[in-house]
Amino acid sequence: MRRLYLLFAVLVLAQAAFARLDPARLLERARSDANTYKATGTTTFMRRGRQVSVDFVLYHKKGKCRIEYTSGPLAGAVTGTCEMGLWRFDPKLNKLTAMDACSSRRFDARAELAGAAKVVGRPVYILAVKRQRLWVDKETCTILRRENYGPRGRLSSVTEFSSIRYGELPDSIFKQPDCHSADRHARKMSLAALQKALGFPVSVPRYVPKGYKLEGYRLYSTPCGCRAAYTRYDGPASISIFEMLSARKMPCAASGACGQAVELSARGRTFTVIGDLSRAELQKIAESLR
Amino acid sequence: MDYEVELDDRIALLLEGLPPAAPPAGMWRGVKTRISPRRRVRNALVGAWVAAAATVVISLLPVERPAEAPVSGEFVRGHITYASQEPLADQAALQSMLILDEREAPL
Repeated sequence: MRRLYLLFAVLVLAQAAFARLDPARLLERARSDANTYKATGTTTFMRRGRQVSVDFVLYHKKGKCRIEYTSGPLAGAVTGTCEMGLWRFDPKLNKLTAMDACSSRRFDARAELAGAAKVVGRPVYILAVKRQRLWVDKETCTILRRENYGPRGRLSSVTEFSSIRYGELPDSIFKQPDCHSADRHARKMSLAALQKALGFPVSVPRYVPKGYKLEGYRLYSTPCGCRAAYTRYDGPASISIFEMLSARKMPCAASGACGQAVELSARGRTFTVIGDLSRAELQKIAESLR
Repeated sequence: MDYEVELDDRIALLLEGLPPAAPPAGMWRGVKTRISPRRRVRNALVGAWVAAAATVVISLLPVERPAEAPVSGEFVRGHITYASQEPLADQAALQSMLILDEREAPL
């Protein structure tokens, strides 16, 4: 009988602890993962109607990350993030691409606790965030598995660790390759400097949805030599606005991983608005640039 | 010319001698309905309906339409690259998609 009481007490305490758990705090800890670890895993996503799976090795340290793809069509490709920004190297194209870092990283996502489970033998909480489900390590708050959903609620990709080892890693692992030869697509600058570089006044949208704030302006250069103004807004997701002279025709390519995008021409310019918003909302932003 | 005038006069004389004849049954009714204003309105309505139906049918035909203005793949890649730096972004998946995209459609 005494054991029964004890079991009951444990269950009540466990339930109380579960109820007190603050998903928002857990999510914040998961987002700013300060752990150092090496993990292996697989990412699976749908591309042009077929499923693609790629194995990878991931090295992580606070604010730094390096992902080496080890199997599938991407074997040998490497990507990384550091304080300076993001880079990726594709050995097949022998191409190094570098992007500068985003200065503002607003974060106000709401999270709900959706259960508990185990991933790579470690107990996790399952968090439901906007278009994501995250399996967060109870002890370390590392995200061990994530499912990403598209705007229509369809599963778009799953990334899961198959092993993880916490411990020190040398800084040399995170070293960015020599980016002098890199295709540096975007350079952040002030609006005045951008207008001077492009030779035309950059349009500012009269309408941006509530909750979005200007992250910055960039001079966007493409491999074909075209240059455009890149205005970026941060909010619940992000909005990108590209503006270039209409006379400068760019080679266009379909993208398998694009969200909603709207293109509009006015006043001798072409505006391209891309974001995780409805088409009507993007059109409204584009119209406000006329 | 004189012969034609003479012929007309002769025919007129012949017709003067004949009693007035009634038109074939139904002929006058057909002419009357054709020239009546109500008939004209009905014809206009029928015409409008036929034109509307033809428009609907033509619009439903599988005609090759011009595609929407293409959005530059390069810009989309730029957006995704920055989006992959957002909090909680799945970098492993997004970067994979970008590399594959670049390989399939190098710019």
